[in-house]
Amino acid sequence: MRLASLFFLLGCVACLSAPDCIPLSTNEAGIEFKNRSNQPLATGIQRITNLTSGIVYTLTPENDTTSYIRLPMAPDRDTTVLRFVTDLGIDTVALSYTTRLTVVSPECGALRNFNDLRVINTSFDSIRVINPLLRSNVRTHVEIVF
Amino acid sequence: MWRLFFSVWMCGAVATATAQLLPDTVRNPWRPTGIRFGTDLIAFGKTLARQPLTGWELNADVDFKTRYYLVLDYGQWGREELLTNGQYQGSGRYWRAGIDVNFLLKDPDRNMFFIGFRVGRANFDERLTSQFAYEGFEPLTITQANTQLRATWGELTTGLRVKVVGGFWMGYTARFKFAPGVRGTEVFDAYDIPGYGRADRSTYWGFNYQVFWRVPFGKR
Repeated sequence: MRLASLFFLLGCVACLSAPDCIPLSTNEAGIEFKNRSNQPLATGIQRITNLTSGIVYTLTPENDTTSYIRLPMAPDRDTTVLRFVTDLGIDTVALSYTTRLTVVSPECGALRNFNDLRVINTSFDSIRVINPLLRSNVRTHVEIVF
Repeated sequence: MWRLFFSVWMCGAVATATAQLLPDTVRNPWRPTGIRFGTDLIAFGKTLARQPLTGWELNADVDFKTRYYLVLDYGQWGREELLTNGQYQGSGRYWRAGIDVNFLLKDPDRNMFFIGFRVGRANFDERLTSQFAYEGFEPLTITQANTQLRATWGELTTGLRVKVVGGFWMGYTARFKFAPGVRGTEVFDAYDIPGYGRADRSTYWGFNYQVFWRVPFGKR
């Protein structure tokens, strides 16, 4: 009886490991502007250019002053260079990352995770990666301090 | 004096005769009495039914000290899955080795109910093709391959072996597999381990329905 209970328990443990089909992988990095007091800093953004892909992002007049923005990394490269034209000047940052495939299940398919986000070159005075894994449930990946 | 000599001689003679009548395993309990070869019918069924999983498995066990069986499994396992955004292919060979402990010691036909332990090891390759769409960018198709992966795991087993007729046996083995470890996944995360199952699951169930042929060692 004890042996049967043990195998029943083991069976329950095995059944609890169903695949998670909530895709959190993304190529977007959340970038937050802060002041030196570590408070969000509303920044007037005129234009952001993804120099790797050539895509130019212009913000609508309603939201062109913001302390937070999400920008996509080039999915076919391992580096993305961004140029920010703001009220505070023109700055560039080169971000590198790695990608890795994971098969979740036939129904959920394969995911592509962007990991190991790093700043490899920048003209900003102070910038740091606070979360190197790009996931949609994470708000901020990079902090830029003015 | 003659009576003493005759008594000693008689004791020796009886002991020798008794030893000749006893089976080899009684004199040497470590000596195996036979070897059993088998195969898994479920693997054949899945292959014939063209399931995503195809393969075969061969089994062998040999008894020693009446209660214990040394077990060796060897098989091939291939999986081809159509994903919502691509295709996965994986195949490889595996083996398991371990000990079964028989709890039906008094059965005259050597039928057995057993509990055992196995160590498994697999060598396999994987290939993954998948498509991704990113807003503002061209659709991306990526093909990657993991080659010469190695995996190990452990198993707790239980099951039955029943003599049907002559040397023909049938039985089943239920497996609780655990602690998989994969080495060599440099490109993408391993998905399916031959002989084990999903690589991302720390535990897994397995079941084999088997037929065997037992070859005895000498006349019992």
